[in-house]
Amino acid sequence: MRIGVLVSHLRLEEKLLLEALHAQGIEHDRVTADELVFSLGGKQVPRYDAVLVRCTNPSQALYAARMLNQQGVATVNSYDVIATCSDRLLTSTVLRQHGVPAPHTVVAFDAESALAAIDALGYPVVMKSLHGPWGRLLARVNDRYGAEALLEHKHVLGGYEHSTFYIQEYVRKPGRDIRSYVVGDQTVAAIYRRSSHWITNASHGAQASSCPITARIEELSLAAARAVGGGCVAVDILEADDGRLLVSEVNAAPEFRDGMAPTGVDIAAQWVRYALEVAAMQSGR
Amino acid sequence: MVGVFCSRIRDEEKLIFEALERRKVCFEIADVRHAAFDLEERRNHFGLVLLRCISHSQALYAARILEQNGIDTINPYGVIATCGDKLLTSAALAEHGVPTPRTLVAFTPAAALSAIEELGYPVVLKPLVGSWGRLMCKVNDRQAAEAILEHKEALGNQHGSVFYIQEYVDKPQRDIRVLVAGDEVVYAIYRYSEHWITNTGRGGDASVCALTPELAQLSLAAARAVGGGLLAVDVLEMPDGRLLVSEVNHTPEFHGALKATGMDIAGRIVDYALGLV
Repeated sequence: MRIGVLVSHLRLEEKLLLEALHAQGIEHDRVTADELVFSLGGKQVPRYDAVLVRCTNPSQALYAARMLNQQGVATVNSYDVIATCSDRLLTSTVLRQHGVPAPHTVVAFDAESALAAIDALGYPVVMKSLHGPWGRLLARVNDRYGAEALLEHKHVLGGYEHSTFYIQEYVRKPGRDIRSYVVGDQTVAAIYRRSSHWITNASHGAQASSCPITARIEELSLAAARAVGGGCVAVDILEADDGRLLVSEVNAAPEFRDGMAPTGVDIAAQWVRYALEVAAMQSGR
Repeated sequence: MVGVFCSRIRDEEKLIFEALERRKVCFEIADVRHAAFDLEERRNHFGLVLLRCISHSQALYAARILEQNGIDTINPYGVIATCGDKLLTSAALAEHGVPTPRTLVAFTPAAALSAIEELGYPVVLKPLVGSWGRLMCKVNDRQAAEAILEHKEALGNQHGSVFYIQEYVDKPQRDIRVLVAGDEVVYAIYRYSEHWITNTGRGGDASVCALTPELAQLSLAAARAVGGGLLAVDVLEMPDGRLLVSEVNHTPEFHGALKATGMDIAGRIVDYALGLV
């Protein structure tokens, strides 16, 4: 049994994963995405039974997983899960398909129809780029002038990937959101992320605290994880002021340090446990 | 009811509308640029949607949203996702044993440069997403490689850090394009150009290419590898006569083939679509 940890640079999470592998006496390597060259076609002998994909660059993670899966190497997460989670629109469609409650979402392909859709949805709305982590390029749009300006900037300055407008109802939440960590078929930890900013993300200064995993949170988290294809994911949940719990995003390569300290759950060890299960399944084939 | 989702209406789309009319098929044209897709809404009045959007992302997301509502599309979402991305196409072809140019993938300019030197010059660099040969480059030497890699990294956007490197195939100033509809080959044409990029969108000439069993088999295998559907397979002839599949296109233009073959291509496309309903 040999596990690879694919990284671009070592964040705390990757160090914890490597330590967990070491502590459990599992043979492992740190693999640097920057140095990799994949060859398509031909039979290659896989060096790893499973690879934890932890690159910070989303494109690298996505395509490395595809190449590894092609070589018969299982990845955590799988290419399909990464592909779905790295695109907010794909995430929304699978959540919808699986009946997982999510904020009302509308998609448009030009500024004029986007503006009409925003007007119809009612202000405020949230506009998100389809790709990109850490709450980057999330915009809250409070009125028509804001919408016009944002759409024009996306259109004029944005590249190809900013020409699909992803528009979402703004969910009035109590100054916090919930992030739950799912590993396989278990919700292993959950935290509140509290911030004075409407984006309750660590990069926007959110503070984490332990959140009790109620039956509702457990069920919703597992449903969201199943919808994107399972694996090790972080599910972002919004508590609407009308009592609804809504899944806003599912992350396939989340930072999880903020989930560990407040809850005391060793999420890194849980990821390693899951990788070993996946590796055992792969070699059992 | 058949839906035809388009953006700008080209000659190809007009011919498709005419073919539908001749067959007295009830159809509705939707310009995706002027439609907003509410994910909560159930759209199910279409039995089938023919996607003819020029933009790959529009075709891709429209297909996904329609699929979510249980509506069949030509092509299906999974096929568009694979064909719209050259790396995913190459991976699918390789997995199905379809001969393709040797392809390497790297994530940094340094790793890409060593991959290029391993393949040997000239090589071809291609963006993962894009059509009409845009941003494809033939790299003849190390200086060109260094310059292109640096520019790609500095100026590229979403997948700017994924380098797709392919062996250059010394083809006879033409390539072959084969249109596949399901299990059948509709036509094969040569596309000629003085430029190494032999795309009729760049003004190349076209003529009919004899459909040998080898060519037909290869094209059908390529189409199956990406999931099957209505697909244009680009085939390169090696100096030693071997055939390699370079790309598979999910929303083929066919104006060049019309002139060369004189076929009712739109009619064939519509018949294929109606055969699926």
